[in-house]
Amino acid sequence: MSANPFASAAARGWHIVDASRLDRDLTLEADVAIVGTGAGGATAADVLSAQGLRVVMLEEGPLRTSRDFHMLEREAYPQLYQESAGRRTKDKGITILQGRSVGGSTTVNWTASFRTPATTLAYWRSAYGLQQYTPETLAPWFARMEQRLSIAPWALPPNENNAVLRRGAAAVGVATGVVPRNVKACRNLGYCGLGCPVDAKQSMLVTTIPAALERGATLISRARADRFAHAGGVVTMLECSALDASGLRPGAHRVRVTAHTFVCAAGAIGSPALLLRSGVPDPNRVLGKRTFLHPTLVSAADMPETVDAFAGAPQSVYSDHYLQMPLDGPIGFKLEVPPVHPVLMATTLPGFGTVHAGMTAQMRHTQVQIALLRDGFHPESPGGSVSLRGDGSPVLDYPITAYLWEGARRALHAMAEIQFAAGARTVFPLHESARQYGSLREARDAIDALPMEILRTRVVSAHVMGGCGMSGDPAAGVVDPFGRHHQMSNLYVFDGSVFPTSLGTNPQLSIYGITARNASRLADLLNAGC
Amino acid sequence: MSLTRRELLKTGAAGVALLTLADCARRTGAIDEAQRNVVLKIAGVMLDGAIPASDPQRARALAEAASGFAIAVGGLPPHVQAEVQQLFSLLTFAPTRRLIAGLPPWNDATPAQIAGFLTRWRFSGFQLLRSGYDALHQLVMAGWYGNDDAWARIGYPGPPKVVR
Repeated sequence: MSANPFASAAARGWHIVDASRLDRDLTLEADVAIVGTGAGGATAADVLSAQGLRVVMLEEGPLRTSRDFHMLEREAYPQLYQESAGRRTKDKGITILQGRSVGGSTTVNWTASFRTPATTLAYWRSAYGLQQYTPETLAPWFARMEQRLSIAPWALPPNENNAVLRRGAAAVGVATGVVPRNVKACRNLGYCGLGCPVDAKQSMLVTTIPAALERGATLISRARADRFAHAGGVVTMLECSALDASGLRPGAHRVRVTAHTFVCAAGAIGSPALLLRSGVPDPNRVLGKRTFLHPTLVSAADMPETVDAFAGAPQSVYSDHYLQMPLDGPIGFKLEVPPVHPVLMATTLPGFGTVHAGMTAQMRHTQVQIALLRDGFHPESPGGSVSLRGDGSPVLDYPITAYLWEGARRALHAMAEIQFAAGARTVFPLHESARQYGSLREARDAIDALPMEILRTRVVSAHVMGGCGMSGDPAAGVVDPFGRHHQMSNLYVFDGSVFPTSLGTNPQLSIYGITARNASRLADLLNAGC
Repeated sequence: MSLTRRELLKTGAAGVALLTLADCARRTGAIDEAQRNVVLKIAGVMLDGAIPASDPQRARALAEAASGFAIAVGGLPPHVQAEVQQLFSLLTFAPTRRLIAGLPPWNDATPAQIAGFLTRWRFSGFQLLRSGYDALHQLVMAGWYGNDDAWARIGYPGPPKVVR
């Protein structure tokens, strides 16, 4: 059995501060100050501390560990997710699932761990001057993180929710694969999204963050990074608000960190927002632009057999069949399944009253598929942009273009076909004007007629990428191919915001591998006295 | 009274003025008693079929849903709480309640009238009204289905017992 590494935090003398409990301002000094403790920030903290550098990690969310994880949605969403798992794009058209506690989204993700697809890297090389981003040069970094986080294809049989995808896909000649997962002694519970209660998921919370703390790094939770102070192209200080007891609002005290080098790893909405609040130079007006979401469509099937999609590893089968198409053509999509828990199901299913109640009553027979659109590779898929509200909080404006809606309709068709091929009694493409259809023909006619508009078609996202894109040419991006800011010499961005497009796959391993590479280079530079 | 897209367009500036007034009339802070009353009325319609049909079980379930709703709102960041308050202002300020929601005073509103209002907003040509419906849907559903009491009917056994 895995032990909660934080259980012995005090005995080990780890430096952990809950900023909401401060009774005075706090000033810290470090070699490297890191904003964010998700896949990027925590990997950077691990790599840098291992090279002898003094690291301070700052996290807006609370420190919650396995002893706090009770597999209850009503607890997990407010504590572990941005905006209680109800974050929305500006026009409310897309719901965004994003983590907000120590460990970031890795604390709540569903463990799918894929390397960056070769097709995506080829596009980055040709369109963004990222010549070193080849599968071969990145392979050692991915291998290193796969080993570090026990990433391997899921060896147990898939749960029925995933098995339906595999069975239906096979019946229509669509190839599927087995999802690699970052787990050790996994008990196949199915509650990864609510925080792993047994520390089997090898998230940042149980791997890189404890490792950095053991080497003397400092962790400050519930500290919101307000801005980088800077002068002459150099960041001089990080200014943070200690949050109040609610964890939602600034409290009375400030946290200030001076450092040689600053790492921004606040995620693809938080990082551009922090740089915007800081007023760092943006001569080419690229900051916060080209933000991608893998806009995701949902299809629910009522199966004759029991599915119990709340139990068992949530994601173990996928299909890249619909990604095998030219990037300059219609948009492609990856097929996966999500876990089905009561709140997630009831809030996602359209409608109300007896119709809605009838569908939730079918929970144990409900199979759900999702299709993740590969956005950002086509002129008609420029993504969204992050800007600031009056209170400094970020908002993502992501208009869904006709090009994306065409893919959305095609994705609903593909999922319905697979679900019926697997024996579904009915299929419900999630859309306010749709219902449960009893045959593929009926579903097809309906999907062709559905008005594709926001707040009618259900569109969700669990993958936010871009906004601080990497580029070889300083005019085309925010950071260079090693994550260094093009205009600020001691500022680095290490998270999913550096991707110049979406990935076409779940992002955690891409963030781990690319951050390990770029943070290792930073450690070498700092230790050489640069 | 139902409000068509054309009618709302016609009201134009007057509608904007009403919204502003409603916003001024709103209270700040957590959900107050009047707002809770609105939640109980809306939840009674939205959760029809999902909660017991008769009192006292029904009233108890609605109270659970309303407190779940309030807790959910309390956990939202300030800018989202402000939007929820604006929505309540619109639903409780008499002129906007009548004009935009098409409803009589909440205590007089029948379930059929409330269902009609929800349906008009759900399928409205205006994104703003669709998003208002969507917010109510999210909060009511989260408020109820997060409760253990909601699970027996849907066959959800609850989280497994785990030996740590």
